[in-house]
This record gives sequence, structure tokens and C-alpha cells, in this order.
Amino acid sequence: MQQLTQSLCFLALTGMIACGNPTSKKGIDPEALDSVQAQHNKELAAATAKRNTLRAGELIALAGCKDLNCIEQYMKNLSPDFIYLRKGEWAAQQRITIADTSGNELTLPASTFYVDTNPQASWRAAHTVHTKEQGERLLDEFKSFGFQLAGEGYYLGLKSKQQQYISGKYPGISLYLTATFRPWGLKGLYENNVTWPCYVFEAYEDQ
Amino acid sequence: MPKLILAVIARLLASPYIRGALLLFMIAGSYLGIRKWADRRTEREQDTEIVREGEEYLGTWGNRSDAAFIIFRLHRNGAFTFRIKEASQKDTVITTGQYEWLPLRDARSINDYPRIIARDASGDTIFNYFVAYITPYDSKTDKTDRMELSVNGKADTTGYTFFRLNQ
Repeated sequence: MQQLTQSLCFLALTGMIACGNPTSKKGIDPEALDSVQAQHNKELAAATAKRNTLRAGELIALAGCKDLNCIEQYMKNLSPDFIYLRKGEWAAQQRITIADTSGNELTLPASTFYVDTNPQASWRAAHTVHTKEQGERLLDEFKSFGFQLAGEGYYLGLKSKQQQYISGKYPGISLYLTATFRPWGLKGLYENNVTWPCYVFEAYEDQ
Repeated sequence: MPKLILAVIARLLASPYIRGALLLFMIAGSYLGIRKWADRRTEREQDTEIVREGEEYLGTWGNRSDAAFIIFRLHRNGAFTFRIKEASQKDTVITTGQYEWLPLRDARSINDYPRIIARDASGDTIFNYFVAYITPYDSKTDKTDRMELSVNGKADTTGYTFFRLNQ
């Protein structure tokens, strides 16, 4: 009998809950639409990336980092333009659609910033952009900081040649620019065959 | 044979655990039944849609821009009402028809979003958008229910944001 009474009470309670209309709590009146939309757009703007590559000044600052912790601290401040993917990997929030060498359209993060986290790997922190225009714009930024071509060679042990740029304003810092189809060996976005040209920017303090 | 079945049932019902489980099933079933009955009754009386889990797209949605004020309603019975008041016009144009909600599993590619297609009485398509985002039922983050419609179903190409309006 007691069990039956409890069941009936429970049913009555659920019945009352069921009569409520949860939808109406989340709807708005048409008059409030303008203010809700304005607030939404404001929140959206705060979370939307404004750019799709790092700036030359930021790469110069990152050149001073000698460990992953330093990079993580710096990259934390670049959100939401750059988002953390996994250990040692960040990507631009903005995506771009590019055509690879076969003409296939690919939608990718506009750029990446990867740090080599493999055990015993030599230190490498590289910013990879995926279009020539992005690369030219970033190089122009470096040139505006006084960076000039100093030489060309296989400085970093990659399969492609690097151009080295140095600046009198930033003594001890070198920029290495590589145009390549193999920006990283088996890492993140570049784990499979890379079928589009990448432009890799690496800035380091001279040893 | 019926005796055997009855004996098995009697043996099962002899267990307090089985009886408890049956009671729980009955309570849950009753709850859902009463809720559905109350929802439909309220919908009929108030000419509205009561949204439950998996039906987040139902109801009235609105968007106001410099160009136009648009309201559309997705009725439970598949009817579609579309109202547009263009800024340059005095009158509100109302179009009615039927709509189809195509969830993700019916889309051609896993990359496509769910889709809403609406046709007017003559069969012409009047509304055809991918749904890039819709506020989940019981969401704690969205203060207002929101539906993002995309023209082409590709990521990062959100087109229009509609908010749920009280009916």
C-alpha cells in the first residue's frame, strides 16, 4: 500500500513537471531581438580570430624561447587567433581553402605553429603558412624590421634550402625561410603527404 | 505449454528485484506518457510547439537585419510558415508550405550539416539551408535558443543566425 502511495505521488509530481514548457524559458519576444542579436554579435566578435598568421614581432619574441613551457605561456595570449591543438601544436582558428598541385580544393587551418616535442629531437619551432600571399606578407613584415637576405643553404638540416635573413635592429636573431612540401616529418597536419606548397618561418637566436 | 509460460512468469514475478524493475519501467513509461499528453494538449490550446529532446528545431525563429525582418515557424505537423518584412517594403509577405527536416544521418556526406528544406503549396522550394548549429535541449550555455543556418554546409561558412521567439 505504501509502495502504491509513493508511486502515485511520484506520478503526480512528474505530471506537474511535464505540464511546464521549457521552450518558453529560452525564447525571446520579437521586440528583444535587436538587443539579443547585438549581444550575440559582440560575443561572437570577441571569440572570432582577427588574423590568420603570427606577426613578425611575435616570431622574434618566440625566438627567445628555449623550452616548450615558454612557448605555451606566450601562445596562451594569442587566443582566439591561435588555438592549442595538442602538445607542441597550435593552429590558426581561421581556415582557408586552397587548391593543391592536383587542383583539389582543401580546407585547412590558415597556418600552424609547431614545436618539435620528440624526445632527443633538436629544438625546432616553426610557423608554417599555406599560401604564397601569406608568406610574402609576413616576409614584408620582417623586412620592415630591417631583416635582409644574408644567405641561402641547408642551415637547419631540412631537405629544402633555407633563406637566412638577419637584421641590424635585432642582432643575434636569424630568420630562416623555407618553401617546401615537407615542412614537418609526420607531424600533425603534415602527417600524410603534403600536396600543397608550404612556407616555413623559423626564427632563432644564434648559438 | 501456457501452463509452463505462466509458471515462468510466476517464478519471475516472485523475485522482488524483477517486481521493482517492472515498477520502475511503469513509472518511467507513465511519466513519458503524461508528459507527451500534456505537451500535445498545451500545443493545441496555445498554438505553439513544446520542444523536447531531439526536436530542438521546432518552433518560431526570427532574425532582424538592416535589409529585412524574417520569422519562420516549423510546426510539429510539418507545416512551414515564412514571414518576411523587407525594410524597403511596407507589407509583410507570408508564405506557407511544408518542410522536411533532414538529420545528419540522411545527408549525403558526413561533412554536411542537417538540413531544412521547405516547399510551398505549388512544390517550389522556398527554403533550403543547412543547420550548422542549434542550441541543444537543456543547454546551460546559451541563454537564448539559437539556430545557425548555412548556405552550403561547409565548415566555417555560417550564414544566418536565428533566435527562438516566444509564440
